[in-house]
Parts: sequence; structure tokens; C-alpha cells
Amino acid sequence: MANSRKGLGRFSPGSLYEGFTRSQIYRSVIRNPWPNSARTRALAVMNSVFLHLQPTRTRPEAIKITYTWGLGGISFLFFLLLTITGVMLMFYYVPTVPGAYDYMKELQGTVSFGQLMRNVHRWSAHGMVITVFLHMCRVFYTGSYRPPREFNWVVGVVLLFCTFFLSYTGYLLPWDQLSFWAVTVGANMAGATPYLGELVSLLLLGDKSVGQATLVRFYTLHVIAMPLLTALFLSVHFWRIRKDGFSRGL
Amino acid sequence: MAATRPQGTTPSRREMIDRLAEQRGQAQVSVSRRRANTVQVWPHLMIRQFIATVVITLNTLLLGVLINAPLVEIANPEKTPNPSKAPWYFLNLQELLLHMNPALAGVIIPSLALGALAAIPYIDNKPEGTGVWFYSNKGIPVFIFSFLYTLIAEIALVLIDAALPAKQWIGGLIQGVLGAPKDDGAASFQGQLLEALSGWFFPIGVIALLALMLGFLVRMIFKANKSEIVIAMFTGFVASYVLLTIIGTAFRGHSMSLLWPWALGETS
Repeated sequence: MANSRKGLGRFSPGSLYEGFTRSQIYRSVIRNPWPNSARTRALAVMNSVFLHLQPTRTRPEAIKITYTWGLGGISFLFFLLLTITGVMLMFYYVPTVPGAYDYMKELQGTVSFGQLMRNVHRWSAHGMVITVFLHMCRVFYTGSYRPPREFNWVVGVVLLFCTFFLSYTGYLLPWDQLSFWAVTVGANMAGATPYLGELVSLLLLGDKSVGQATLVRFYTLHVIAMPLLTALFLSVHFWRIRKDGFSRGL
Repeated sequence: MAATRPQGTTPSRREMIDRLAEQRGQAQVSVSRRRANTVQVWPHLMIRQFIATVVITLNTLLLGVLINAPLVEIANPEKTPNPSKAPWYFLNLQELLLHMNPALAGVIIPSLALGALAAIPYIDNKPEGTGVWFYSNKGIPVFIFSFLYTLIAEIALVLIDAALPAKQWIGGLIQGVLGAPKDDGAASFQGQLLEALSGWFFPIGVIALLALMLGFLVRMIFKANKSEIVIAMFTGFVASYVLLTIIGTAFRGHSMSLLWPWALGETS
């Protein structure tokens, strides 16, 4: 308090900023000094809930772009973009037959930036399938699945499945000819399961063919069940990387 | 550190101090040595993450501005489009569907593929080679060979099955051996036999033979060890996934018949 009072005597933007960073409000939110030295940069990573999954130091060869190509991180970025645009789309979309299609038309035609949100959601979904697959290839061809990282590779295979299933469940939601028949083709494949075909098909579709029950199931799986499950496996995936260290250099 | 010393020699005074320090829980010596070869995550890693985030987000946004997501007419269960295609990342399975029993193509093979993927680190379980691109100097030749082998074999198989469908010649074979069915019972038996042979045994045999041959060839040509054979198998999977996705997406038209990509639009 004494400092900020002193600052009032010779007023300048700098002193205003200094006063602000010394205020109780600022210091209650940001606990670290500005990260401009080795110590304060380490503190910034360590003390942040978002950054602390990362170590404070790492080997330069582990973060070379031509080593990882950032593919895992880009997949996660797509997951975040999909979550943000997905929440926006949920404001306008209702999973009813045949109303869902009209909501799509309305979203594209009258909602501000509705078409853009849908486009970004769509292209991010394709992007995520591609980058997850490429990430798997990168991890394989650099031998990063080898012990002690075996289980994290298995978690990755589960996440690959989650990515496919997230994308597949989202495919039905527009309720146009493309989505309806693509999901029918997929469901027929699942329905060909030996001995359990009818059960699997009923479990997936909630009915004998793709209809209202299917749309509600796919919607629920797409907007809550699969994202939560994916987030759960993602946290295990990231935590394991942190614990095992990057596959190169440490 | 002590671990780098060849076995059998007496530890130097320096190593004794290191070891003593570690034993007493004062590992400052080794920590400071490890630190010398590291960089700080803030800013060295985080600047990369930040730039990647900005570039990818802007590009996705740009794509969203330029190209609209497709929305065709409302779903109509009465009107089946021809061809009806699954989402593109499943078109590889839909391609398999054309050549074998649906249970095999749509359920068993993808389940086995996921299971085999998950099993890789338990089969190839030596830590050596972690963090090295393509494992050894044989890795890239094995990769290229396996990729080309898979492409050529599968393109040939797709073309052969289009020119001379397995169902057709196996059906002819059955009739040739057993004669034309005399009653309904015989006809239904021959139908089941045909499905068992052309839908199950023949495709399983071809896949098994192709995989075994790949392993055998890689072992013969490159003197490959277990890790390099695993590279060959994984590459076979990746090549199949990519190739069959492309064929399913760009080369299958009306009734899923083979077509050139530029002819797709004319028939649908």
C-alpha cells in the first residue's frame, strides 16, 4: 500500500502497471513474478495447473520439430477446437427426427457465424482423424512404444478408437441423406458380428433401423459420453508421458 | 556417472564422491550435470506450441471460411443412394466388404487389427531403439519395400477380384466337382459351401499368405530381426489402410464398381 501511494506522486503508465501487479487482486490470481529468469520461468511452468503437466526443463533433441512434428499436440488442439465449436453448435441443435435437419438449415442460414462454426467443427474432425493416425505412425517409427512406454501405446490405441467413434457418432447428427446412409452402412457392418450381430445392432441403433432412437443415442454419445471418456484417456496419456519422460533425450 | 565405467576397473576418486553423494541423498552432482544438456520448457517448448496453435487454428478457420461442410437433402429411409458410402476413414473396411464375408470385413479384421496394434510393444519389447527414427539402418529399406509390396499386391488383388470375382470361379469350381444341384437341399448346401469358401477361407488364406510372405521376404532380403519384421507388418497395415481408403473414396462408383475418379461424377 505504501508503494502505490508513493507511485501516485509521479504518475506514469509504468507506475500504474507496477501498482496493479502489486495489488492484492493481482497477486491473489498470479502468484509468480514475470517469467524473465531461469527461476521465474521454472516457477511459471510448475505453478500453473495448465502447464505443470510439462517438466520445467527438457532435452533439446526431444522437442525438435522434425522428431515429433507436434502431431500429438495438434491432435489435442483439434480436440479443443472441436469442444469449443461443438458447444456452440449444441446451442442451436436438437436431435429430433426429422427436425434435426431443419435445425441444421437454420444454423447455416440464419444463425450468425453458424455455418462457419459448423465448417470449423467438420474440418477439425477430419483433421483430428488424420493427425491422430499420423501421430500413431510417428510414435511407431521412432520406437517410442518400447518399454517402459508399452501401456501408453495401448492407451493411444484406445484413443484412436475413441477418435473414430467420436467422428462416426457425429456423422449422423445433420440427418441428411449422406449421414443417414453412411451410418446405416456402418451399422450394417457392426450388425454382421458373429452370433451377437442383432444385439450389437440393437445396442448401437436402439431400434431395428436408423431412426429417432438412434439419433438420441448417437447425440448423447457424441456430445457427452465419448468426449468425457476421451478426456479421461487423454489425461492418462499425458500423465504417462510426463512420468516416463520424452522418448528421446531423457 | 558410475554407470559409464567399464566393469572390472576400480572406481576413480571422482566416481566415489558421486556415488557417496547419491547414496546420502545429495544428488546435486548428477543433477547439475544433467541440467547442462537441457533447455527450459518456457520458452523453448512453449514457443513451438504457441506457434503451432496459432497456425493450425488460423488454417482451420480459413478452411472453414473457404469450404462449406456438405449438407444434402433430408434423410430418406425409402431412397437408398447408389453408391451408399461410409465416412471416408471407414471406406477401407467397406472396400474389404466387397471381397469377403461382412463379419470378417466389418468386425473380425478391424478388431484383430486394433488388438494387434495394442500388442506391438509386448511383442517387440526391447527398449533398444527408443527415440530413433526407423530403428536401424535397415529400417527405411524395410519400410519402403513393405509399403510397395503391399500396394502392388493389393492393387493386383482388387483388379483380379473385379475381372474374375472369387465368388464366380469358386462357384464354378463347386459345380464342376459336385455337379449342378438336383434339389433345394443340395442348392442351399452349395450356397453355404460357396459362402464358406469365397467369403471366409479364400480371403483369410490370401491375407495370411500375403503377411507370411512379407515377413519371409523381409527376413531373406534384409536379414531382418524381430523389430524390423514388426516394422514390415505395421507398414503393411498403414499401406493397406491408406490404399483401401483411397480406392474406396475415389475409385468406387455406382454399385461400388471400379471407376476412374474423373468418371465418378458422371454416373452418380
